[in-house]
Amino acid sequence: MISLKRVNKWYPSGDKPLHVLKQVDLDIAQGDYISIMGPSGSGKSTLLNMIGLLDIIDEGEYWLEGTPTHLLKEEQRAELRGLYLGFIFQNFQLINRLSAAENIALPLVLAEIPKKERNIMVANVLEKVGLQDRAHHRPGQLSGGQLQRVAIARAIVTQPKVILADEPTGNLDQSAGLDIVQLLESLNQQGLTLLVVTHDRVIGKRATRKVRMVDGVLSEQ
Amino acid sequence: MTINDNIAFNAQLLIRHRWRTTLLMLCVAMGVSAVVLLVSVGESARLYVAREFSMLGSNLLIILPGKKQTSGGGIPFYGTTTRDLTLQDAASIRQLSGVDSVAPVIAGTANASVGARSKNVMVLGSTLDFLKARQLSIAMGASLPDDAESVSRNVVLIGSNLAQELFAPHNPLGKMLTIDDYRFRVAGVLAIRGESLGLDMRDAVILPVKTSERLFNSFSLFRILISLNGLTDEKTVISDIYALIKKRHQGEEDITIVTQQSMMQAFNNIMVTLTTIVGLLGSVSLVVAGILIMNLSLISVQQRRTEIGLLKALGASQHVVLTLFISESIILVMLASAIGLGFTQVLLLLANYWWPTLSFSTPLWAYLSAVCVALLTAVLFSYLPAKQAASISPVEALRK
Repeated sequence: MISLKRVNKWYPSGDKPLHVLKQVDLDIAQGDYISIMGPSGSGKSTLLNMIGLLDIIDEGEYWLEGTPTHLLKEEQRAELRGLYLGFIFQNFQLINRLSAAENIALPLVLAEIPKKERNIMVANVLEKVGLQDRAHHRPGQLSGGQLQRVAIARAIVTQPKVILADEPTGNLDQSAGLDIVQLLESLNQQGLTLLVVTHDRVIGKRATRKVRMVDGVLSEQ
Repeated sequence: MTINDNIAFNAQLLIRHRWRTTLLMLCVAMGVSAVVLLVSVGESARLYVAREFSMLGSNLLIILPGKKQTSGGGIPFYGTTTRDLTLQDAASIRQLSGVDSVAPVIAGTANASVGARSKNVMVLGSTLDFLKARQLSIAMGASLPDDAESVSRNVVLIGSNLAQELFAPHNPLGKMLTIDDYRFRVAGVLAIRGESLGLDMRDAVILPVKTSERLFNSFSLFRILISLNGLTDEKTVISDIYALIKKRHQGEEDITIVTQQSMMQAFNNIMVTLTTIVGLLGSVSLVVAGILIMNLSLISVQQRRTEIGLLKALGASQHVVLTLFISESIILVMLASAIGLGFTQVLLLLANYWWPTLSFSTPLWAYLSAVCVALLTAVLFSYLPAKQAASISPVEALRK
């Protein structure tokens, strides 16, 4: 479903651009559970941003569900993002003025899903992440683990095919982190493709496919 | 994002930043109110002047001594001439066909006194026809004598204010009034009528025109007011008057004839221009509000960078982000406009209560244009910040 072919990415840096992704090839099938590990600055997050269509590749090809995304314009990439991809961030990225349910409904609002249908979908995912009783709480009233569960609920509410998680346990204690990983794995067992960028070796090793980035070069382990 | 969701999303944002919202709304509401109020004052003044003119009737001509072009300019109050208009000129004009009545006017100021009370007043010497032409009526007593143009009698009509100031608490009828060195008997008191085309008749003294020649020691007329009978075309009468005066003044066409229509048109043009100018001046406050909107929107874009990045990551296109920011300003301005218009209505109600003669009214176009200018300002001034927000890279915005 995802295919990266000889992908290169440079960032401007002084006189000489910084080559952050070097000839990256990666094929991901539906239901894969992949961990991306590597030292800081090795290009893990850049790779995740490329796959998440948040950033554009400078060279190479990126095919998503048969669509050559490297040829698409920003508006078309935004549409694909909403359709196929769900994001989980280390610092949750929830909007503080909105309740948990409103945060979760945000991708549905952007996709113009009618309110009635939206409410049912939000209730379903809240149940899935075990936060039915926290629907009307604002982020300030929730614990770190609960915040990440809300973020996961928001990522899966549109029923995407791929979840991209950037250090999902980075801001959580060990116990809460394990809970989140188990939740993500249960989603993967239901057929969702899971890509996790992590520094945590324990979490990284749980993935069925493990890839390592070192200085912009990807290698499968 | 649907319109309903857009409104709900922005409403939460505006409520969250309630102080910022309140101050911005206050700014825009004042701008809208200023535009409507200023236009309303200008428009009401224009209608007031039009009403005053219409009360004079549509068949009135005014002859002024001296030649002055009237087309394309204002109303000439004073012309320049070597030959004066006289009562004899007025009498000859009366003989022309198409002329119903002629009121010669001699005007000046003088000191009117009764015992220890005195006041500087405007003195108008004329005939009965003057009262008819200016729609003046007598509240009590008699009017001017029929022979005011030929016989000098020491009788006067006085305005209602003057009667009060010089004679209260006594009835002024039959009492003596001293004007400069002459003594006059008060024959009548004018009915209460406010200002008429700049002349406050409540403080005026009217006496026979023949008497005023003696009072001011002058045979020169200030004006001749002519009422037409409608049987002859106005243009024909005007050219007949010019021809007559030219003949009487040794070939010099040294008068200016102003029609009631041309005066009304000239005043109307001036008032419309003034109303437009004050309306535009009021719009400046809306532009200031717009700059404030832009300033705060730019700050808001910086504060909400992460949120914008998140919305983009969740599938929002550049167009959605652009619309979201512009609609925030539009919602704010629409609410502020409603408040501004409501506030204006209250002020106009109070103004009508305090100054009923002016009868403040606001044309629909003033409301519409104020709101449209406000909305246009909102869109124009929020476009740049919105464009900036839409172009934010989600990767940059979400970077830890």
